[in-house]
Amino acid sequence: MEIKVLTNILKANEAIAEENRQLFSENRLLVINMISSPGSGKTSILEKTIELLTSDIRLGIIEGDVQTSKDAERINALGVPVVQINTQGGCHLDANMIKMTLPDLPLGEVDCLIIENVGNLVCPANYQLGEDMKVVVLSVTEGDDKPIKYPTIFRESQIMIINKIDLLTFTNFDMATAKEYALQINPELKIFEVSCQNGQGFDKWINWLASKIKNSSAL
Amino acid sequence: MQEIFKVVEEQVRVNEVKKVHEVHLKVGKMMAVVPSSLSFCFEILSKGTMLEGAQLEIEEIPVRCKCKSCGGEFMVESFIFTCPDCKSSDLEQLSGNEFMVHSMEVD
Repeated sequence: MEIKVLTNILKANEAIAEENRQLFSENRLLVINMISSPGSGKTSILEKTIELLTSDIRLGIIEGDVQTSKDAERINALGVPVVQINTQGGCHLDANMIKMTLPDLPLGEVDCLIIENVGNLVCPANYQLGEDMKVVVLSVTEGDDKPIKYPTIFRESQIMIINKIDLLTFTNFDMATAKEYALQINPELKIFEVSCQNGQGFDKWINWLASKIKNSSAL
Repeated sequence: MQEIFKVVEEQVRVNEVKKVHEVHLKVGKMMAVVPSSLSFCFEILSKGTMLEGAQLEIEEIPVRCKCKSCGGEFMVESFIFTCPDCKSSDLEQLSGNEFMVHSMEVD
């Protein structure tokens, strides 16, 4: 006989993501889920963002990696509350990992929580963590066709940061092509171009982020 | 994959199922799931469990959108989210994000 099941396979994750979302909203936190392939510069963007945001905005960071606490050590050196999650082989963070981590962060003393996901453009796109928005990072050394190769994450994100623009002249990366591909998948996508090496483009990203945080928190 | 097993095992318990012949999944094209990989994992992981020998039937659901400007419905090809008729990108996505256990064939 046939049994109709009609159950969303990711339902359990989404229920926990909703609990997280409630907790974030009670604490008036802006929560960002940062996703990219390995080596695109997520941690460097975080370091620069911490350096440039004014001190009246308090950040908290969750670092997701398969192994090691190297990224958390880099953030910790800047005096920002940070918790490392090691997925022990897992290719993405899920809502429960975030939930288990939250007691270790001073949520009441933070205005914005940035979650750096495991470097991977596929699976993290499908696992909600309770975030307000996803930020996808693409670096120029990866090629301008990344958006059409991994469309789901570009469709799911609200922001795309194009990093390593100081290397543009050394690659065949075409900025117009990358943007065109990304926008045909997601016409609403907001795009920032930055370089962590020389700081180019960070003023726009920081201004945008600061106003977003101020709107969602009690600042 | 573990989530699929959890959903199926729950059904087995609730419905007092003795044998699972087939599990029917619906997977949207946006989910970036590779059917052959999923079937392979299912086969390996089901060995030695009551799901051993069950077939995993994967139905891929295309990405469909409705244009909010001209009202037309269309299939999204190559992930280009633009209305083929009026070129608007103000769309409502109707399908393509599914990832569900639709039904099971059991004794």
